[in-house]
Amino acid sequence: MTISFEVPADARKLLDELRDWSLHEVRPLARLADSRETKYLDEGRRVIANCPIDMSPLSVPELGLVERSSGKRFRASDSERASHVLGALAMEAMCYGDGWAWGALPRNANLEKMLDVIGTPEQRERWQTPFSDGGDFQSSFAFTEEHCGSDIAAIRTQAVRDGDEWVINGRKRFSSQGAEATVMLVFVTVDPSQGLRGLRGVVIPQGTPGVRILRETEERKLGMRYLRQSTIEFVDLRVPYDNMLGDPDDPNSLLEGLNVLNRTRPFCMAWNVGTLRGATDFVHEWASSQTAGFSPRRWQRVEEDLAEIRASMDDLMRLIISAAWKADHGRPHRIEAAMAKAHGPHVVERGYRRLLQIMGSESSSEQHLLEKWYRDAVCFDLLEGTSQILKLTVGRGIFAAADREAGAAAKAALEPITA
Amino acid sequence: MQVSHNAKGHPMADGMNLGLSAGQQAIKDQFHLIAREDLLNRSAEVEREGLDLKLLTQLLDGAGIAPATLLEQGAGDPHTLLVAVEELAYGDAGIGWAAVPAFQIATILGTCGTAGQRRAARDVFGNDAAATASVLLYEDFGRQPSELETRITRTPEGWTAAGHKSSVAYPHGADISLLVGREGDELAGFCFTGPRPGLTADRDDREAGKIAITAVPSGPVSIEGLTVTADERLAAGPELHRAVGQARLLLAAALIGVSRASLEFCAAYAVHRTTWGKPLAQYQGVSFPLIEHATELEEVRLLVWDVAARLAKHGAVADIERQVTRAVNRASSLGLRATRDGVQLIGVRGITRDLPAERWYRAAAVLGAIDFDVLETPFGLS
Repeated sequence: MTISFEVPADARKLLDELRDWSLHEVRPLARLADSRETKYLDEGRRVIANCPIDMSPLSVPELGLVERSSGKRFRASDSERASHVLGALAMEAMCYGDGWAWGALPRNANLEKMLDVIGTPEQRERWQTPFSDGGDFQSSFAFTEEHCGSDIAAIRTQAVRDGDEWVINGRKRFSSQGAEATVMLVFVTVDPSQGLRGLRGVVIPQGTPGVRILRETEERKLGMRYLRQSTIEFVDLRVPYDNMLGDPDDPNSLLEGLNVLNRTRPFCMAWNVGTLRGATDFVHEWASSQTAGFSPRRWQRVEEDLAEIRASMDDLMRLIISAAWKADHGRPHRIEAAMAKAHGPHVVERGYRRLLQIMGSESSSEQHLLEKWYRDAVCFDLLEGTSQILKLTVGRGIFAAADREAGAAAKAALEPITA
Repeated sequence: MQVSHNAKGHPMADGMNLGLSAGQQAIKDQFHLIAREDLLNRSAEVEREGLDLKLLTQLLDGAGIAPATLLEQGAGDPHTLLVAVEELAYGDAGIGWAAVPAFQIATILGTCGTAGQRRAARDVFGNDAAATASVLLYEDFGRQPSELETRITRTPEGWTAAGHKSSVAYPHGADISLLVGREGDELAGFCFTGPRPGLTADRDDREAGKIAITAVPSGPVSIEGLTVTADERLAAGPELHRAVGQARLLLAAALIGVSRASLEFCAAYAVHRTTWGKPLAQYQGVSFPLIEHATELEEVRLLVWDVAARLAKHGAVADIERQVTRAVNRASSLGLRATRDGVQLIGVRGITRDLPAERWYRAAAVLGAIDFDVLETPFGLS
């Protein structure tokens, strides 16, 4: 038998440890992270230190996964090249208790992933060192502007070369942990008339003259409050010429780096699934303590619905894993990644809605975490591309493929009929 | 950093493998080409005139998966046949479904048949490229194998069977038949060759009229006083449940193939059909449903493949049945919805016989109702 969905026993054991860590260490601080609106909690330092793995791309190429205690590298797929499959499974396990902690793990953000893919050797040396030294060195990612999100060709924040420096002016909105970061990866244009080909990424240390934090975070936003999203302005900010990632004269360099997002989209959805899985078990346990309140017929339906929620998560995880498996094997996976990210919120949010209804009015109380998870869940349909935007990505792929296969027949079908 | 190594010192390459083997990929590529260049063009004729089984056998033989070959090799991996049936049904649902009874017999005998039973079946298929095959399994009403009401009763000479079966190919009798029923609470299977007294076709749907899937005769069958012998009895227990489960998944593969054909043609049509100055595909009201169906299709195929891979390891009958039923149900729902939109998104041309969309819509109506359990999928999710 060639096709297999089995995870090797050692990797499964590691995933179980991650899940336990998330349940017993991460979840107890979930409400605190929500109310303080940050994932960098003093109380959370020990939690972060206790995470069984290091999944930094700076430790293992291509989003690898390393057991912290032994340095052993694990894998979940048959690939000897990369570990996206295990990375996605680890994301699910890490977020079982709650989703706040994984993002606070050191050396684990998009800057590091991009640096690994398109950074010059000098840049990797320069920027990896502070990451590898540990401590509180954190990075942020600034794409979105007031007038554009996924339409990154419309970015207006501009970098103009001035001798050995770049002079940057513009403004970013919803920059993930922007105000909290030690260093920011900011997307700019070097030539607005060039659209995508004018885009570049610049590393900007926090505190550089010209950085103005206009809003640290969107206070009391609907969900995912632990993820700060800042508004930052850059006014005649100057950084050294080599703070621009990759080759500034090569427009393809950054576009290649943006492929990182294809690989992180499945991770993003596995994060969402992980917390729903924990929430489903939580509601099942709560409901099991309340069986006297349900008629036998209703209790049977509750159990069937919980089983279907779990099965639908399994279905979604297979889609996620399929994209990750292709990434592991160096196969094209843009469409599959976009499918998983576009389809996932529909599955997960449907699950949460039913969990709320099973738990009834008790679900609305802040004594439980379900109301928080429900608020968090909708945010996953905004991070790393909305469902609608990603469907456009899927559409470009499937319409082109369909045209290759059946275009001639479709064209023939449009010919006028003859007598 | 350490990498897991196997006993020979090579890096471990176990774990998830979602890729087709070279052999499976070759079958997929070969059948895909045949589907596009031959089967699709043959659909209307096959539906009207029926299928020449020799052509189908020749096609399967060319890919090394003719029933006689499968029986010779014993139980193979389930994914090869899932891939083959999906591709055949992508070309033509009727032809794809016509291949399934022989595949189901090879699948079940491969696991639960004796060497003698496999040899007898191999001889039937090997000696006649037009040999007909019937599987007396389905009973409608959403019945799972453990709920089948075809009763098997012990007699001094062997067993007798009584009951009703649905969706039986060659209801008037086939060259080889496989019967699944229940003896007490246990699933029981028998394989026999040639016509057998005690089987009565209640209706031949090719003659009486049927919405689609008329490449071979089919219809409901009554079983009364059918006798079978110990030599014809298959191994029972969880192995039989697993084998029947694998056989049931072939229906899901056929539904995936039909759905794919319908979605693909509709998407290509939407690329070329212009309305209000731009292609239909550029209207999200048209493109989004197709994208959602295409996503669901990937999800369902992975589900079917996963269930097939896991079946071999599941001992509990209830688990086997639930997982197979959920997979087949999801494929059934997908087939009905995808082919519906495959017609409607094209517009009124979609209902004409000039285009294949209406045939896929009709085919899904047949395949999507063969093995559907309303208990597993509430109406709201269908």
